[in-house]
Amino acid sequence: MNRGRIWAWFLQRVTGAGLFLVLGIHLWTVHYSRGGEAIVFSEVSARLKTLTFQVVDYALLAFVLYHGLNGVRNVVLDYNITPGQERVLNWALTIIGMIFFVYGAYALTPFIAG
Amino acid sequence: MPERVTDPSVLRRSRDTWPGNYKVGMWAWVLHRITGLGLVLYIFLHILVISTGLAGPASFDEMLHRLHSPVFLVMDSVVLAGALYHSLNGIRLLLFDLGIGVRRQREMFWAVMVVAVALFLVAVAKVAPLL
Repeated sequence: MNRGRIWAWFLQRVTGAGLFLVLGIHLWTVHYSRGGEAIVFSEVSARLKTLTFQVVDYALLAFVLYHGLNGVRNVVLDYNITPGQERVLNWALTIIGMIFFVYGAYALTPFIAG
Repeated sequence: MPERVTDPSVLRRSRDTWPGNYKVGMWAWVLHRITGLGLVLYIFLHILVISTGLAGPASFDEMLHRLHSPVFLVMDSVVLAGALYHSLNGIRLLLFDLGIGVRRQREMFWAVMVVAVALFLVAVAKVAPLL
């Protein structure tokens, strides 16, 4: 078992536990506590002007991308790929994760500014 | 005619991998995978929906208004059910890693499922007036 795999295993648990907290906050405040009224820009914006929700949303974005993409990696690793294929897989998932983190982080900026 | 399999280890394997013979722990694992893969796909869609805000508040409000129909609310509930299943079964797996409840994995499964169903009903009751 190499170091990278042990770290990935550990981080999957850390982000999983973190998601339980921040995804719970997100689902309740944004999607359910309001009784399912249509979500509007001004309301999201008012929330995202607070530091608490900036931390919650950026943590959610980072945790969910790591946990989800590392989860995909775990599924693929169950099919006995070669070390070369594993390297390609790791790079591909890392790049996808970074692109979506940057894009997702950028997508939140109008709400923080507006 | 396919050749008849007589190797006992192969026979045991095919018997164990047949879904009709899965026990609770195996179903828990299979569902964790399926919900996990489904949720990853959903996350990308979710990021794309939110990114309509980049084109201005009007674009975001129009998109969110369009997603606010009974059909989408039912689909949201399916996503929520998947997320609750994955979260609560995930807590069960975390406890196992801490050495808690491994010998009682079956009872642990039903215990976390009671919590998942309760949370699902609270959420659905919240949005029910809109359906």
